[in-house]
Amino acid sequence: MKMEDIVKTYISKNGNQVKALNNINYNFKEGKFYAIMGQSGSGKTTLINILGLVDVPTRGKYFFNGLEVQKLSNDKLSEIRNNEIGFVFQHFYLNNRLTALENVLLPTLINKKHTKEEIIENAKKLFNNLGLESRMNHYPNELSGGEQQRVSLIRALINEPSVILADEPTGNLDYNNELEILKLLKEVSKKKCVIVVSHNPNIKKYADIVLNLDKGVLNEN
Amino acid sequence: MKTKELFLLGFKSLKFLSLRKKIFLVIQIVIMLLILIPFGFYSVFSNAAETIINNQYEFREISLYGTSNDYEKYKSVLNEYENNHIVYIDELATPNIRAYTSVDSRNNFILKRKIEGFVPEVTNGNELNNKYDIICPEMATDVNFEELNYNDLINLEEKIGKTINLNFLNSDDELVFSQEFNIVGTYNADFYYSYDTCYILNNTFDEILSKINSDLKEDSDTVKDLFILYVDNNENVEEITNYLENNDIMVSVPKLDDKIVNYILLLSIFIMIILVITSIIILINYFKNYYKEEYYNIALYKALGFKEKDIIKIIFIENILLIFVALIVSIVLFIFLKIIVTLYLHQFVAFRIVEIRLSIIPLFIYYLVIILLNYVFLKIDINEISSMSIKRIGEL
Repeated sequence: MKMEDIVKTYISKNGNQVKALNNINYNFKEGKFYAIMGQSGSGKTTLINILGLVDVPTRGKYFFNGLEVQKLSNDKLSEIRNNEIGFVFQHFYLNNRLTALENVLLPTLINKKHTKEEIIENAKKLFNNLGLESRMNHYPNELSGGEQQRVSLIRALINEPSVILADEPTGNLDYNNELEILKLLKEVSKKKCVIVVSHNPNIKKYADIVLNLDKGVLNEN
Repeated sequence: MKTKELFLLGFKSLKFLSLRKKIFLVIQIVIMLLILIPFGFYSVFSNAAETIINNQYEFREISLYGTSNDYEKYKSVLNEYENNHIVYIDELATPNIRAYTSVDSRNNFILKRKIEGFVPEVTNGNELNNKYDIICPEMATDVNFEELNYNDLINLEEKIGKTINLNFLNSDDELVFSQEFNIVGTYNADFYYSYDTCYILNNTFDEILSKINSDLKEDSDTVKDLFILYVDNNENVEEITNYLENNDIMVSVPKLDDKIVNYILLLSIFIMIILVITSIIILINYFKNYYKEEYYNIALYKALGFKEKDIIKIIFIENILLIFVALIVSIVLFIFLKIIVTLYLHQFVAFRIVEIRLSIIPLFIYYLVIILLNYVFLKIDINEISSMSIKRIGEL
């Protein structure tokens, strides 16, 4: 994921220009755990949105697996998001109408990589690996915070993406669950590009590379 | 995305409804119920109106009235008038005779002539053949109608083949003679509201009449019915009436009042229009703001890589299923209402003909309108949905 001179500007309600990202140049690689640290308002969410193909930069170029993102249609971007990117959110964002297994299988409804049987088998393996085999048929409100975040992580992994984007994944967890999630992300990062955005300093211990985002400018520590 | 999966997602969404969706569901059920009620109950009144208009014989009976001095003149006019629509001319102008079941009480049946086209269809038993044969209502009464309850009706259908003794009194209420009649058949009196009316052969009727009227004194100045003409169809009554009046014959015909049917229809249509407008306003408001409640789910779908068309399909089907639930519930509630109202109305004798109909077509037309509105608003709002979800993902 290569960013060249990325600038993202918003127009505020009173007509002022706000630069959320300011000339970002960076190349994210597979097999690494990146921690992007920054305070509130530093542009972390904007950066994640652009990396995750849900927003486009005002200026600059962003290449995902060699494709220039600005030249792609919305449908193509959706397809890439489904196949190549897994999101993990601070508030888990599971669909409360679906069981844990159904939540995990949601991204597979529009993915044609595998058959249904292969997908379910893969899902069950992931549930087992993360110690949630007995919780598959429970609804999110029947799960603890840590369990919900693990389900969220399984959902992010189910389509075998090459990138995991996590926005404050431990923000709503207690210390023990926090450590467990970070360990899992570290494990996942051996074969994927894992980018975690946070202001939690504990993440630095697990990250291969720590980046600082301050007033829209990205620097490596 | 497969249709089956879309519907499964939609069904899942029905399990957990937000307060807003529950309110919307209730409103839809009420609106659909209020669509069913006018159409359903209209049939009750139209049945009753049809009974009055088409089946009540008195609207096809033209009474020619005058004094005894007018008799010959009227007879002459009638003899010269050729009209095939006149089925029978009653020269004695006596359409019915009271037949008392008991001399002591005032309980009586009404006997009428068997005139072709003026006798109801025999539903059980046989037609009149012999002199003292009689056709009676299936459920009958010889008491005053105003005090009658449906449960007071006597089942005469069970008495086919048996006899009934009837007493005939003169104008001074003195017994002239009694006669046994054979109940050969019965008819359904519900549509004629004639639970006290029985039919005998024309000759028998004349014979009884002559016996009980034999002591009547002629009064030349009294105005009375001199003839009764029985007409085959309501449509022909006016033509015959006009002819007679043009020949200076005084006629009397009961008037039909079929306006009530039109009033009910107009009222129903008016209620329908109000309902449709109200519901469209509610629906527009609901669909316009649907995405505001669903933006987290929409943002999640976007993050997971669902395309806009997939998201539209998911929302569309969720709404369609929700309103389908309202459809089913409203039909079930209507059926319950129908049962309760029918049971109540059956206490009133004439309402045995009550048939409250379930009108599916107007309901489905309304359902299709909602589907169309749903789709239109989704298409209109999809840009807003997309842009909103992009912001929302950032807040997720």
